[in-house]
This record gives sequence, C-alpha cells and structure tokens, in this order.
Amino acid sequence: MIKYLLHKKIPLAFIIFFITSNVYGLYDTTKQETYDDLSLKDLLNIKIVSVSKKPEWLFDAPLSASVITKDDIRKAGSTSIMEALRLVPGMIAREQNNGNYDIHIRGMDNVPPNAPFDGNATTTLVMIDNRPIYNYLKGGTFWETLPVDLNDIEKIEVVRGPAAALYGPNAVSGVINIITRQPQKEGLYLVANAKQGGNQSFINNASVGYQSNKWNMVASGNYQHRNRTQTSYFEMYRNRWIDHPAFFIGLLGNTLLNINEMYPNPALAMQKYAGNIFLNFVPSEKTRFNLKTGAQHSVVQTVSTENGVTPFTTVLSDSKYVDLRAAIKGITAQVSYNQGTQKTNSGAQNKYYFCTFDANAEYNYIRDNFSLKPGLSYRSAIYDDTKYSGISLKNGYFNSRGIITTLSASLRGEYNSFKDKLRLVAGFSANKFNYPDSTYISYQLAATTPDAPRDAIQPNPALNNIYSGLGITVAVKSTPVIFGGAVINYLLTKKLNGNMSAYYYSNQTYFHVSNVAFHDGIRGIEHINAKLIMNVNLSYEPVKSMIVSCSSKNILNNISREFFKADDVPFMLLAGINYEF
Amino acid sequence: MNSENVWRLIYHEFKSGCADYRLYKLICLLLVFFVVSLPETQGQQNTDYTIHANIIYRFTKYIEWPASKKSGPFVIGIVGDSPLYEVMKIFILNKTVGNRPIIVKKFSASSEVFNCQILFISEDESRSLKKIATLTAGNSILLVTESEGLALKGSCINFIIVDERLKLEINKSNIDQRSMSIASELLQLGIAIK
Repeated sequence: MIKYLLHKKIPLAFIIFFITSNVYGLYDTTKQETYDDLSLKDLLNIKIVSVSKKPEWLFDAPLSASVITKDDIRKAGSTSIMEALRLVPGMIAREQNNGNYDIHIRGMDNVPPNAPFDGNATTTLVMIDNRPIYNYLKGGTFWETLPVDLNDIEKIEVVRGPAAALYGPNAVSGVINIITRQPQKEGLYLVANAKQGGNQSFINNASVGYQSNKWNMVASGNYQHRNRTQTSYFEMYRNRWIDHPAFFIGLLGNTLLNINEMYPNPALAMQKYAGNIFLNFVPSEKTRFNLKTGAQHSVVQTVSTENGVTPFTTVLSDSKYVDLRAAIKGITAQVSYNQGTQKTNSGAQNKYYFCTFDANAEYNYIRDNFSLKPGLSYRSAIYDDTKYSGISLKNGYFNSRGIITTLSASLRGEYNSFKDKLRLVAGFSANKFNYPDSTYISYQLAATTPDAPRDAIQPNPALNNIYSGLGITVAVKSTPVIFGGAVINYLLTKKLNGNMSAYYYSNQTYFHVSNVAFHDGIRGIEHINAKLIMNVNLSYEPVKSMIVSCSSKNILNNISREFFKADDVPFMLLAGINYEF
Repeated sequence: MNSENVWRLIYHEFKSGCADYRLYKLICLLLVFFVVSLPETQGQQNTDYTIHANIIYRFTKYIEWPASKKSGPFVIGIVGDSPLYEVMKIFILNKTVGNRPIIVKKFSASSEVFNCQILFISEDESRSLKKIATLTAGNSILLVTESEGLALKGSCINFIIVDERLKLEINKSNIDQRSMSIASELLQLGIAIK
C-alpha cells in the first residue's frame, strides 16, 4: 500500500515542482543583471558564455541539431558519454544494464520487428573530432569502445535526421560528434574525475597536460567498472530467468554447456580502460595540426549480437587508433587509422580482426556570404576472422576476410544572407563503393556492406529486415512514440548547485526473431512499459576548482526493464569528486 | 516470488486499476512537450553582451576626449548586426556621461561618416575595420572590436575571450593618434599591444 502511494504521489509532486520551477526560471532570465556595482577589474573576471565564433567544424549547417557541453554533463552528474546523450533532445537511450545503453536518434534506424539483435545496429554516424567510430561489420557503434571519456570532452553535437550528403554515407539517421577538450590557458592543465556508487560502479578518469604559446599536449586515461543489478540471464527457449544455469537451451532446442565460456563473469556489466595522447600545434592563426592516438580495452555484457540463447552476450574489444588532422588556411585534411580485435560472442573462434582507414581533404572557399567546400575522401575497412575461426570447420562468425572501400567526392555549398538569418546548405556527394548492389537502396548499401559475412551469419541490416523488398508496410512498435527529457539547474548558493534531469519514454513492444521461431505469441515478445527516470545531482564546491557531488539516479526507483529481457534498472546512488586546474 | 516481483506485480495492479494513471500519463506527456524544446532555446542564448555593454560604458570614465568632442550627446555607434545594440540601449537607460545624455546608434559598414565617440565594430564586420580606421583616421573616435588580432589592425581596444573571461587588448598608439588619452588604470587592466 505504501509503495502504491509512493508511486502515485512522488512523480506528481515532482512534475508540479518541475513545471512551477520552470516558469520561475523563465522569469528569472528576463531580469537583466547589469553588474553596475562591480569594478572594471571584477567585470573582466566574470565568466562569460563565449560569444559564438564561426565554427570550424562541419556542424554549421541548418539541420536539426543540439549541443551539450561539458558543464551540462557535469552538472547533470552523468557518469558516461552514453548516459549524457539522454540530455540531448531527440535521443532514445535505453539502459540495458548498468552503464550499457541502446542508443538511437529519434528511432529512424533500421530496427525491423522480428529481427535478430544484430539488426539493432543503428545507422547513426558517431565521430570523435570528425573521426568516424563506426563498426562497418555491424553498421553501428560499440559505445564501450570509445577511447575517450567525460574528462576528454568539450561538447557533444548531435544532428538529427539524414545527413549523408553532408557527413558521408553512414549518417543515415543522424550524426553524433564528440568534440574533445583542449587546455584553455597556458601552463599546467589537470582534469580529474572519480565517482563511486552502487553495483560496484567505479568511474575514474583524468587528464594532465601542458599548454605553451603555440602547442599543447594532453595525456588522458579512463577506467570504468560496473556490475549488473542481477546475475540471472533470460533464456528464450524456456522463456524464463535463470540464475547460475547449469546449461542453456538454444533456439533450436540444442543444449549448451559452455556457460563459463559464454559468460565468464555473470555479475559484470562493464569493465573498460583506455588511454589517449593529444598533441596540438598551432603555429599561426590559420594553421593547426592535431595528432591524437590511444588504445582501449573493454569487456561488456550487452544486447548487441545474436546468440540464439539469451539476449546478453559478452563482448570483448581491444583497439588502438591514430588520428592526424591538419588545417592550413582553407585546406583541412584528416587521416585516421583504427585497428583491433573484437569477440562478440562466446568461443575463441568468434573473434575477428578489423582495421579501418579514413582519409579526407577539403578546401573551404569563402567569398562574402557564399562558401564552397569541395572534398575528397577515401575509406577502407577490413574485417577478418580467418585467423581465429577453423577454416575448414567454418565455425567462426563469418569465416572470411572482407574489405569495403568507399571513394567519395563531395561538394558542399553554403549561402548566408541577412546575417545568418537565412542560411542555405547544399550537399552533393558521389560515392563509389567496392561492393555495389543495385537492389539495395543507397543508405542500406552505405550502412554495412562487407562481402565477408555472405555465407555465414548475415549482420547486414538490410538482410535482417525480413520485410525488405516485399512491399509490405510494417508498423515498428519497438520505439516509443513519445520520449524526451528535461533538465533544471539551480544554483542554490554560490557553491552549491542542484540539478534535476528527467527522461521519459512511452510504451513500446519489442519483437525478437524468436517470436517467429516459436510463433506462440509469448516468446520473443516483450512489452516495455512507459518509464520516467528522474536523476538528482547535487554538487558542492568547497574550494576553488574542486567539486564534490552526490548523484541519485532514478530516484523514483522505476525498476522496470528498458530493453528486451535485459536487466532491471533500479535506483542508484553515486558520490564523486571532480578537480580541474 | 521475491520482493522485486511483488513490487512489479503491485505496480502493474496499480497501473491497470487506477484512474489517476491516465492523469499521470497526461502530465508526463505535457512535461515532455514542455521540455524537449528547452535545451535548444538555451543553446541560442549564447551571446550575452551585458558585460561588453558595461565595460564599454566604463571606457567613458577612463578615456579623455578632446574638447571638440565634448559637447552634445555622447554617441556610441555600432557597426554590424550585433546583439550588443539592444543590450546597450537598455544598459544606458538612466546613465549619462558627465551630464550628457547617451545615444546608441547603428552605423552601416559602408557609411562615409561616423559621428560618434565610441564605435563598436562587431565580429561579422571585422573585415571593414581597415576601411573604417582609414576613413576615421585622426578623428577622436574610440574604435572597439571583438576579434583576435584586430588591435594590430587599427582598433583601439579589442575584446578577446581568454579562459571564458573577457580581456582587453589595448593599442595605446592608436588611441594617441586619435588625440585621446587613456588613464593608466585602464591600461593596467588590459593587455598592451604595440
């Protein structure tokens, strides 16, 4: 009974608080602070929101876009990049287990009903400083493999909607660009964050650097450990949760005994660490060189790969990257290389090697209100599991070595008129793929087309879409009709900041491929209930540059699952320290 | 059945049986609508020129104009479509320079005459600085700009942002050439550009 009431009254109270406080907030901003009493010296010491400069990144197009900054993230108490994306309008982010999220922009990606989990691959392009972090094999992003963490971030920009002509062929449902942070003042630079909370969550990251007149160097590292909220797995065949199973039964009724190999650590949600070095050299105002390099190791249990037994699979990734960017007057060029191995399912034979190479050059010609950007880019991605799978047995993930290459020429034009009030952007790009197939429409062709997996499991979303090409309209119920979030931030006193963020999504129904396999109307279907997640973060600045914080995630304790047969997501408390120098 | 499952059962029971749940949903819906637009409008308000306006007004206390510029209203001119115009107009309400009223006036970059004491050239008109500086050379007009490097290109005082704070680059010789004098207090607070 008490829980009944709690459930009913608390959200209402919060919402009322919310709406009233919002109105108050609006009034508050219209009151002009003129700083008349301050001396000129003090005026020059007030922190100001920087007056926007002409962006040098690509995101100057009149697209539906949003930006969240490092301050927004810190104030909200987000513990990871994935969690921070909930602060961006238009994002669907559902937590599969502690720290692992299923992330989509608006829900416009290829998630057909009755598909295997590989079909969850999103067609959203994720980049770090314009370097694509994209798994061409799956057509999506393994978020845990990002080598950077919150200490490295200046801001995250999100473009919602198709933007392939402007950002390349992988930007089908949108673009997420993570922009790294650079020292702003000369001398020593230090950022350190440590957070600890329930479910053995440890989130630590730090950067040290030095800025001199024309160059700066930053070394950064991050570590995260998070446990699941439960140790049981949902088995699709028997349609139930099993804790410490002796065996599993697969979709075909086959018995699997290699539980320890499949799930070596049932309690673990995520464990990852990574290191980066950033080197920037700016000899003159119009010339700059940025070199970034780093390596990453991660083990997670996520719903990202189909194994025909349970939703979760253990994904093990190791990778390293180099990224060089140069801008000389109007010319920018970027070359990046990423290589590593990934094991997305049980068994050593399911490991594969990958390396991706990206190179592009652009020239920005600006004349009055008109700018023209011709560009050339080359991209190649190799996926190879022949080293790990038994070639004669063909027991690997795809038993082949595949390469995809894309050569593109693009031309972008922008016209500004009336002081940026009218802005027209046109993008044209011609893409030559090494693996063309005229029956695919271009975005599917662009999303994933390694020829390797043809004769094995087919992770191509176009093929996972069992309705593809049949001319049938399918209602996709796996994405919520209504979703969104809100943030209120209060500076309670000069040193105490309160932040409340809310995230809501409406009901949805997920249909898994096992729905087709069993066809009993029960298995492979899950109705995900609407959920309101409220987070409260209090941060206190006892001395300058140091902030201690206490964040409560999901204060309403709406424990319901956010993804098909994944973990419960209950209330969680975290304490943290942030230091910046 | 563990306590978690009981909890869930109670929740479902509540959800299906309680009429208030509809209201709850409606409010949630409202809330989402309310807010989805919020971060975006915040994003647009990133040009707060209040501090600029305040500092520009303080210049009148630290700069000495010659006698010829000391009669009639004190005019602050703005070149370019800058939000400073609106902010400055509000800021100078109830303020005077000595006992002279202040007027905030917009000038086109292609204008031939700039009849004012302070002329602020906004960032998007930065490239007009050279032209304006030549055109007004010798006139006692304090040229104020806001883009990197302009203190060397004819501007008297240039706003730059360092470490999220406004800083002043001051070119004293440009001020001297325009027959104005600058108080040492202001010079000390700025970054001298030669």
